[in-house]
Amino acid sequence: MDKILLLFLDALSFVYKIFGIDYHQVRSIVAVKLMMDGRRPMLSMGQASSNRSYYYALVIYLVFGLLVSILIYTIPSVVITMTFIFAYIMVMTIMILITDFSSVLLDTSDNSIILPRPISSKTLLAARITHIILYIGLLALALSLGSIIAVFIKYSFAGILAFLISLILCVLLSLTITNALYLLIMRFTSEEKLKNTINYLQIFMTVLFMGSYQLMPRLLGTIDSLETTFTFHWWTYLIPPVWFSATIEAFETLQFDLTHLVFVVIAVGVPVLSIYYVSKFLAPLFTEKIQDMGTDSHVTPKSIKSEKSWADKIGELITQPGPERSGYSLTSKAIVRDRKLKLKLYPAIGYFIVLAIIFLFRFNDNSGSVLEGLKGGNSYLLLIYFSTFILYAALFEVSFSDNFKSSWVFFSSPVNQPGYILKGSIKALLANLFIPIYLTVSVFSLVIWGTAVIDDLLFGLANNIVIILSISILNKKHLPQSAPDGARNSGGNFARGIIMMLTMALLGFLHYGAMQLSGSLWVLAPIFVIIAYFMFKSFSTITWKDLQGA
Amino acid sequence: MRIINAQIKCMQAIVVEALSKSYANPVLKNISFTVEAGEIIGYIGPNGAGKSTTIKILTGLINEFEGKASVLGLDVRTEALEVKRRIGYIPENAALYDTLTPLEYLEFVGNLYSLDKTSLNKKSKELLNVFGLSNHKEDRMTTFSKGMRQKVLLIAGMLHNPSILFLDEPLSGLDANAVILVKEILSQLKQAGKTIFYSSHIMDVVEKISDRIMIINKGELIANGPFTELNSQAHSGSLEQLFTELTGNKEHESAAGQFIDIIKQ
Repeated sequence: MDKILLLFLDALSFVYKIFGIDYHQVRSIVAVKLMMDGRRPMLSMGQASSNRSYYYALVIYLVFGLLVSILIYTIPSVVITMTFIFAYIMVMTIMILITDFSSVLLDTSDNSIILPRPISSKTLLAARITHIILYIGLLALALSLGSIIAVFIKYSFAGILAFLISLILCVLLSLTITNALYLLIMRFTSEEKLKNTINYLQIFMTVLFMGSYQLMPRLLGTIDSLETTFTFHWWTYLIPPVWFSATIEAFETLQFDLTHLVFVVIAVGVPVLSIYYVSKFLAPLFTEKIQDMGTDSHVTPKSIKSEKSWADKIGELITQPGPERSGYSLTSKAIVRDRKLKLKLYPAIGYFIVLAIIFLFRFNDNSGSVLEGLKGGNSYLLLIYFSTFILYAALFEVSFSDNFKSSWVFFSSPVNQPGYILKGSIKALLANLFIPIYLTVSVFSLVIWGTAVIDDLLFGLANNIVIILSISILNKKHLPQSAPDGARNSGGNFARGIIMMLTMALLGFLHYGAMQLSGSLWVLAPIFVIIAYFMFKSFSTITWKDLQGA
Repeated sequence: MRIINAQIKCMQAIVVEALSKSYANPVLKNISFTVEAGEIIGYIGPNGAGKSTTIKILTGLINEFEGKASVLGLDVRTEALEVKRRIGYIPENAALYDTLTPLEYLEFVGNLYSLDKTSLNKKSKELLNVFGLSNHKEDRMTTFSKGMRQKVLLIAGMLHNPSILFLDEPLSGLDANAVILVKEILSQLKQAGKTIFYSSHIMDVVEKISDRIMIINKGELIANGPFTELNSQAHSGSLEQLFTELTGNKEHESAAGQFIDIIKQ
């Protein structure tokens, strides 16, 4: 693929030469950047590391694009169909640019690799722009190829032309929005804040991606009831996908009334003006900012407040001083500060919230109000045990880190019972992740189902802790942040996974079974608290030999 | 603060006149010096003294400063591209595109200097071989140790046979054999007439390889001359002692004592 793109670029080399740009250098930089794109893991795909991941991602986007293109055949209104398609393309382009391409756009390694070489700023800018255009061009093609084919089959020549031009304008608008978004953040915050913001957007993107697997079929199921004609309101002028869809409708159905003409003008005018603004003012400022990131060696990193956080204060109450508190402290801080860990943990939380909402309302048969439907059932059980999945994911992820080598400090310290470190780490997960989520679930459940569910909530709390301790004891034991990502898929996981799933199911069903016998949960809850206490105690028997990588 | 200046007369490769640079605070304060063609300069100073900023200005990476600076007769502010073509620069803690193999990386860097493709490939392989990396030439650099990365950086900085080399902590992470090799390379480069501007914290290496030593402290040039000359004027035994004396950090002994006392608590 890289070779085809470079051949395409070679054919356009005269353009660069006309503008006095060193094409030889541009080609070298673009070739290397494309090679690195192909070797870079795609965060939006949830891949930690793999080869050819960019092209793999393109195939996935192509398949998604094909699925979305079915709308062209199922929805009669051109505006409604195209609004869906353009919204999809815009959201995906912006999100992918933010999640995956941000590492390329904000890459400061160019500062020490390329800037010391004899390359003019004009040539470097041309190389950067060429790379971005190729990257985004391939991406847009993958996202929209299905729609392009469908439009070629179904629409008239004028409609096809309007679609293709709109597509280019839409992608350029997405690029300028992303660029403006970065600059806005960079203008008001630090580089560090920008990285954090991108981190949160990446988390949002991952949740959106996973959630849409669940939500899309449900949304598409409601489309039958949509009207065949689209009514324009004042607020539709504020939605970019509608500008493009109305433009395509104007050309496809040859309606050039005032409303459609206004949309055509906006669809062409806004992207063109924004490109002018970006290239004239924002792009040079952006390049300057990126260069400043690396060359200004006199920026002192902002220190983190040394006061105790609430997590530290809780830690002092629930952990013993020594290895247990070290394990607690390391895990608590990693959950809050490690961007990569956050990128793995928080999407899981978001995903389970989406799933929980879908499951809660699945049982509602539309006969009464949503609230009445909920009150009638015992969906709170689902909420109680969704928290287990979050904790399970956290327990697994907290072992892995890019800085796994830093864990030498555990192995070199005179700790006899490393189980205390694990115990502290589990307590940190409970205090920082599980308890806040469980408290939210409890408040929600009490509001919806009333005080009758108190016994369920109390038993659920104890049972959840027992479940997670069982998994921790059964699972391969890694100290927090001590395993490389590569150890994630090491052998022996399948049988272990089955046993853990069975344990989770058994303890979960125990709750359901106990509910049938009135008052039994009040008896079981303290018993499970005692079980949890002894399970925690058993961690002291874990030796270095029981640990992975020790 | 004592200022020692020794007299040297040759053809000038670097000329710096009244150079000043400020960020939030002044980093370089009105420094002036010249470097003659074929000289090895040891440029030393404590952390934050202004060493890297000086090098970045001389290599054309920073073009906003006060005063004048030229390299090989070229103004670094207005002719930065020409300066970059003629110099080699190995920055401290430099980044690498580590998803590339060393061979791919060197080929890329060589292309930026428009080196001939066939000879570039041959030259890269041979240089990797000299540094004992021939078995890793097809491996991605993500797995490379600090020393291996430093070797690739050294090769990349010299691939185009520059007239002047700017080295910022070039021995960082290298094993003993590689350190000896680099020292030998520098000495042979000097014999071949190359100019070397060398910044490091490793005093004994600086002392041994440099024709002249410049010490910078708090943005000011406080010593400039051959080690023997500076040493005879300051009556110190080694460069380390001279450095300690001139940079005013004489409290090492008491600080060490304080450290021991605290860990005993």
